[in-house]
This record gives sequence, structure tokens and C-alpha cells, in this order.
Amino acid sequence: MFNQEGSTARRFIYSAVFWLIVPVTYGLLLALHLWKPDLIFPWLNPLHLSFGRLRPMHVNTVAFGWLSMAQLGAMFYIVPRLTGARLYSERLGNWTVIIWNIAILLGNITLALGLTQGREYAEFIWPIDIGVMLLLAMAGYNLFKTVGGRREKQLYVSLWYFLGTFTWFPVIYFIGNVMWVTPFNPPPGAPWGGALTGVNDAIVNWFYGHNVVGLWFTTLGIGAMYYLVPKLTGNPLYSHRLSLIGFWTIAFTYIWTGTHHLVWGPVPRWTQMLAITFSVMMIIPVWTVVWNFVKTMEGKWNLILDNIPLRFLALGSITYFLVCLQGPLQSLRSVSLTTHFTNWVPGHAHLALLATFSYVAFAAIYEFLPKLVGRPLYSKALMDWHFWLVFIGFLFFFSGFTVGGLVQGISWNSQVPFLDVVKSIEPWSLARAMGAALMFTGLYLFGYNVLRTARSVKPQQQSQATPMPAVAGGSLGGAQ
Amino acid sequence: MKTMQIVVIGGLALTLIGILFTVALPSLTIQPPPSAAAIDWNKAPRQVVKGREVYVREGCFYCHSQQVRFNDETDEALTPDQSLGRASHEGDYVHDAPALLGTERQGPDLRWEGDRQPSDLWHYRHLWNPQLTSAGSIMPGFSYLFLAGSTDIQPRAAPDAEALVAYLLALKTNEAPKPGAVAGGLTLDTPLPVGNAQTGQALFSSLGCAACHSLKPEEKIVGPSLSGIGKTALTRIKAPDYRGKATVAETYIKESILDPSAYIVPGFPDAMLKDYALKLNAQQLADSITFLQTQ
Repeated sequence: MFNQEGSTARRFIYSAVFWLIVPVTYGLLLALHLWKPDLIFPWLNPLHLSFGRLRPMHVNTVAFGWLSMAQLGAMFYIVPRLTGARLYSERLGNWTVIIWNIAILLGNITLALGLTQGREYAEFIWPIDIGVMLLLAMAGYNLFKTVGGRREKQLYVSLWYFLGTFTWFPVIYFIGNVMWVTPFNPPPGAPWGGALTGVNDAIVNWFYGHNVVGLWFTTLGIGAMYYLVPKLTGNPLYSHRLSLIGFWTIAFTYIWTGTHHLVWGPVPRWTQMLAITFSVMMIIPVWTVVWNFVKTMEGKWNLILDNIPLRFLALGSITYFLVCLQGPLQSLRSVSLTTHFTNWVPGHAHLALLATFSYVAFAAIYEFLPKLVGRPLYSKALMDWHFWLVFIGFLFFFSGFTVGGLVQGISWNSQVPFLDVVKSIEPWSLARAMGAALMFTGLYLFGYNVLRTARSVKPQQQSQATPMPAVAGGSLGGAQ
Repeated sequence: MKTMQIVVIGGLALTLIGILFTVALPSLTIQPPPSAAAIDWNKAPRQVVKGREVYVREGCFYCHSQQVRFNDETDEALTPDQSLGRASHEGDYVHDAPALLGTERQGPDLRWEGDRQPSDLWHYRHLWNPQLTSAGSIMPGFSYLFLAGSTDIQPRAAPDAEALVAYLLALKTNEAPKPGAVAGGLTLDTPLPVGNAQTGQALFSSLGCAACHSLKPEEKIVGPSLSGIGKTALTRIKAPDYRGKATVAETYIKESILDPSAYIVPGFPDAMLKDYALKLNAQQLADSITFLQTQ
């Protein structure tokens, strides 16, 4: 059962969907709390659950449960198809899925108990960090061995992104989580270790917090997009050369940008300026990627009317463009002056991880899952509902964050008393909660659809046993 | 195989160059001397150290920043942060692990909370039920940090709440305040414009006065009832233990707002916020006094 072809990808996808509906439930509770604080937490208080504990549970579970597992599911589906080789070890892959699930479960439990490193995005305590490093090694080994034993000569750009990600991310995770400071040699006041002292800790925290988005979610996501856009449109990739320019520029520029989270803060000006400069340079890799997708889509835009995965994908490309225009903009000192510390910033984070890379993950799951289980999707109507609920929900949700954030920032600039500002953004918190409720519904429908598609799985011996040069060398190869 | 090596070696090289400049170089060069505000966690009272752990455990830092942003040309706090106290510098954090700079202000900045609100009673009531002290706040109450039998009047702190408050009170500059440097800058001698009782009434609730002071006769919340304060003020001034400067009711009220500790009515705690001289402008102060005199 563990040796079955495609089982790693399939189980990654199932686990991802489970770890989606759990944290979106947390997310809805958080949004309701920020609108009406007495609605939720008086009931959760006896469990010692409060906003400050549920928030990291939400963030870490969507990031490392849902999105990471969905992207790895997509990667383990794509890699055999682009290499013309079977996955090096499905057994290792399945163990990766199992341990990954255990890590996320333990992560949820420890965070609920208040065991945390106290650093945003890097909350998981040291023992779980060790587990994550092990998982990265397991998944990376499988990836490198598969690509190393490939039958397809050309290394398609998606593989560049996957290989690159598994090269640099373990380094980033190790440094970002300050893993050499352990519970056995903790600094005073931080019993779980995992932190430097002084403002250097904040700098390393944001080096990590930013790069987990930029050099994990983004590069895995773009790798999947480079496979999906030609596949779903039937057009060859517009330019291989442009895709490689995008790859090298993202590898070069992204890693420098983390300190833009500390603009105007108590860190030396040169660290801020360096981060802002490279943030603006991010426009180069982003525009090369988006331009490549736009040109590849040429003549096929009408397909999005009928093809919902392609609709998610096209929308994800557009939001990728927007979020990467917003990012450099808000890193500027003049803009940050107003947007920093406000709801604008978590709005930006959701635009990247939800409206961009989760949309890509939805497209990938809808496209890959039927092929993995050897039967069509349970319901196209539910898929359509999923799209519209999430799309419309997100518009409310994002406006709530963004406009509410601008009201906060502008009011603080004019010295309006703090509590008056809190009260004045209530309508925007309501918009956010409404959007969250719509998306919550859509995502549960998605979960149900996947469950029904998966149930009583008896996968047929699939045609994928034969390599797929038609994909790898053919339509995807494109202009080179 | 060759392309794979290029991706791996190239990717790793670019990553390490970035790390060199954005992680290694700052770590090697940012070694500021500790400021008077920096707390040495090896020497701090056990309560304060534990309080910081509670602060991290409960995720306070997700909604409260601990940094006053500074304008590096003037070395002063940025305009939107001016009411928060002095600007933060690297030296304020030298012993902190993790650094709790924060990224959001769903709640106010807490960098100088110990200076801004030195009353532990205020903090206990606020942690127990934020609406008591800060009507309209979206902060959750932390009832699980309090003992059974706690009430709005008398929240009974468990050891975790005591430690947390000890930590919050330790967040201060430890510098002598510069006279005249404070925003608002109101003193007993500041001449006041003509007040408007109606605006004063609105301020009474929006500033949170109503959380502690009733306007019904004899009703005790935290502070004394302000019903008939225009008349009671005159008897207070004449009390033998009165050490303030007021000679008329208006000045007594003014003094009580700007310097609450000048006279504590017997039987009440010295729990009132000490920052109204920073928060109010002259017009608001006049409006409040005018309103209170009508009560």
C-alpha cells in the first residue's frame, strides 16, 4: 500500500485538506473575536484558549499543515511527470506524510498549551523544529534522487524551483529558528530556546518570517504554476529563458528583504535600507513570472469560464502580481509610516498565502486528485460554489483588513485617541468576519468534495506507470 | 546532472551571500550598550522574569507592540508614536530573548507601560475585564489568570497574573522625566479656555472616567463617586490632610485630573491613570471640569 504509485502525492493532498478545514475554523473564530470580542472567547477561556494562543495555531497550521502539504502533494505529482521516472521511494514519501501529520498535530497541541518560542511564524518549539528538519531532509532526498534518476534530459523550470527550494529552505529554517539555541542552553526567560538576544533576534525572526513566504511557499507555488499554466491551457510555455531569469533573480533578491518588517524600528538604518532596496528589486522576478504566464495564456482566457481550476490559477497569477506590487510599496518608509502595525499588513499576508498560493493549490488539487484516484471529481457544482464563495468572501475579507488598516494608520497619524480608533474600525472588522464566514463555507464544501471524491478509494492501475514525455518534452517544453 | 549542480550550488551560494549581509553582519555589528531601560533577565526579580514568560505564553505580543518608532533625522518619536513616550533604541533590548518588538497594534504599544500606567490595581482590573478600564476595547478578558470568586470590583489575581503585572510595570524608561517635554504639557498653571459641559459629558465616557467613577451619589466603583463634586471639593480642600494647592473647586478638579496623587480620598486606592496631562488638551480639560462641576 505504501509502494503504490502516486500514493505519496495523494496522501499529501488528503492531509492538506484536513489541515485546511481545521485552521480556517480557528481563523473564523479570530475574525469574529476582532469584531465582537465577547462572542467567542468567554466560552473558550475555561480551556485557557485565548486570541493570543489561537492566532499562532491558525497561522502555523495553514502555513505548515495546509499550504506546505498541498504544495508537496503537487510537487510529488509533478516531479515524476517531468522526469519521466517513478518517484524514487513512495515508501519514504508515505512516511514523510505520516511524520508530517504528527508534527502538525503536536504543533497544534503544544501551541494550545502555550508552549511557544514566541516569535511570529517560528513559534514551534525546538523538538518540533527537529521534526521539521527531518521532514525537509526526507522530502528533499526523495526529490533529489528522483530528479537525479530522470529519463527526461531537459530540466524543466518547475524542477529548478523545487530543487532550489529544497536547497535553501533547510538553511533558512535552521537559522531562522535559531536552532542552535536549544532547551538545553536557553537564554534566561526563553525556556524553549530558539531565540537570539536583542534586536538581532527580531532581525533573524523577520529574515525567517519573510523567507518562509518567499523561498518556500512562493518558489514551491511558482514551480507548480509553471506546470499548471501550460497544462491547463494546452499552450507551450512562452519563454524558458524568461523563466530562468525569474528563477535566478528570486533566488538572489528575496533573501535580503526581511528587515523591511522593522522599518522605523530600533534597528540600524542600513539594515532597513538594504531590505527596502531589495524589496523594490523583487519586481523583476515577479514581472518575469507573470509576463510568462500572461503570454502563455494568450488566446485561452475564455477557458476560465468553464475550467474552474484554470480560473483559480489565472486569478492566483493576478493576485500574485498585485501582492508583489503591494509588498515593495509598503516596504517604503513613507508608506510603512501609515500601514505598519495596522490591519493592512495581515491583509497583505492573506493576499499572498490565501488569494495567491492557496488558489494555486486549489487548482492543483482539482487537476491532480481525479488523476490520482482514477475517477472524476465528485461534484463540479460544489467546485463552482467553492470558487465563488472564496472569491467573493475574500473581497470582503481583504477590504476589511485593508481599509480598516488605513483607517487605523491615518487616525494614529492624526493622534486620534486609541480606543476611538478601535471603535471606528468596527464596520471593517464586520466586513472581515463576513468574508471569513463565506470563505469558511466554501472551504468546507471543498473539503466535502475532496472527501467524496476520495471515498472507497480503489485506484485503478493508472496510465502514469508509463512515463509522460508528452508532458515533459512536448507541450511544456515550449520555446527554449 | 550538470544542470542540477548549477541549481544547487548557485542557489546555495546566493542564499549564503544574502545571509552574510542580512543575518551575520547585523549580528556581528549590532552590539549596543544596555540603556537604563534594558532589563537584565539574569538579575531581574523572579516575578518579572516569570511575567515575561506569561506574556509570551498568552501571545500578548501579537496585538501589542513594544517599540516606539523613531525618526533618525531628529532622533525623536515619529508623529503617530509621539504620545507613546520616548523613541526605542537598540540598547533597550540587549538582554531580551526573544525580542518582543511586535508587528501589530490591535492594542496600544506597551514599551513604556510601567511609566504610563503604574497602578497594579488598574492592570488587574484590565486583565480581568478590559471593559472596566477601557470601554470599547477588543481585548479578551483573561479570567483564567484569576482565582475563583473574583469579581469586577475585586479581581483576585492568581500567581500568573501577578507575575504578568510585575512584568508590565517593569517596562519603563528609568529616566527622570524632562519637565515641559511632555506632549499635552498641561500643568495646574495652564490657563484654560471656556469649557463646554456637553462635550465634557462625552469625554467622561470616551476617556474611560466612567469605568471607575460613578455619577450616582455614594456609589463606589474604584474611585469615589463624582456626584456633587463641585460642593464636595470645597470640603476636601479644607480637610486637615489635604496637601494640594487648590483653593477653589475648579482648581481641585483640575488638580485631581492632572495629578491624581495630590490628594487621595480616604478609603480609596491611588489607582487613577497618571497620564491625563499628556493625553488631554486644554480645551478637553476645561470641558471635563465644566461638566463635572454641573454634577
